[in-house]
Amino acid sequence: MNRKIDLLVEETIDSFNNIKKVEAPTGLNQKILTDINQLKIREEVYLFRHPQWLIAALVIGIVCNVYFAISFSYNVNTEKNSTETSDLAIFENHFKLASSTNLFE
Amino acid sequence: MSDLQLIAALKEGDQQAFIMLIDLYKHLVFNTVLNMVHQFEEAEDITQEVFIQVFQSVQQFRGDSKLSTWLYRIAITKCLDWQRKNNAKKRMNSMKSIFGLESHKDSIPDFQHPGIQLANKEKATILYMALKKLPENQRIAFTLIKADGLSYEEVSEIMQTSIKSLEGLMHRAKENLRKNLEQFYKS
Repeated sequence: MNRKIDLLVEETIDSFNNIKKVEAPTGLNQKILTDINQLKIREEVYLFRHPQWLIAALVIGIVCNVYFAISFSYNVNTEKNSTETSDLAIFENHFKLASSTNLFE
Repeated sequence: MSDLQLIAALKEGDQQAFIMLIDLYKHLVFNTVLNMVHQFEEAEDITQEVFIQVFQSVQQFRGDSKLSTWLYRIAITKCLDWQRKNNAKKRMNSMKSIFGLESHKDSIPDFQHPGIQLANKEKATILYMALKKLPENQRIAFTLIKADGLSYEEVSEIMQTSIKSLEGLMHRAKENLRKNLEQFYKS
């Protein structure tokens, strides 16, 4: 019994001997070339061919946006402060003028 | 045109050279892939992917090995990727079947290689089933040597291993196959 199984096992392993090569399906060439042409079209777009530039452009864009946002808020604050300072100066001038002309007396 | 000339033309983006490459190697790639995945439609798709990969990475090919060796390597890598995806899908299906979401069917090997002699067809189908249970590198070594008919030197170059370790792999592959087949025939 064991001998029979051994023989079957060996025959099964040997069933792969002398496998004939199969022809690749017809139309495979065309399919490959179509895929490659599509890839070429994609690659013609510069940013797709060099994605590092796309990433760099995005990073620069984000940095610029952040910079403008910060500088805008800073300008608004500075303007507000300078307005407050000039109001105080006008008030002080008025006060000096008034006191020099003895307006409060 | 020699391999070196063909590679140089491919690197320059010569379309005719690429058509020549496909004509020269499509049968080789298709047969290797078919012996690995045992499905015609999948083998065709993977062959397509192999040539697209060649197109995309030909600039990186240094020419240290033969063009055919490089193609074999890409083909095997693609087959293993496919196999892993397929296994993951099967695991997912068996999980679904546990929860009663989907009926789980065991994969019945219905693939019959047209290149195998009629007398051997039944045994080859059983061998395909047993091959699926082998570890990856044993399966690759056995398939390339037995089914593709490559020499130990060629396979050692493709698998980037020494001939001695390849012999060890083949020995273990045959031992494991014997065990699997014995179990199959006894049951």
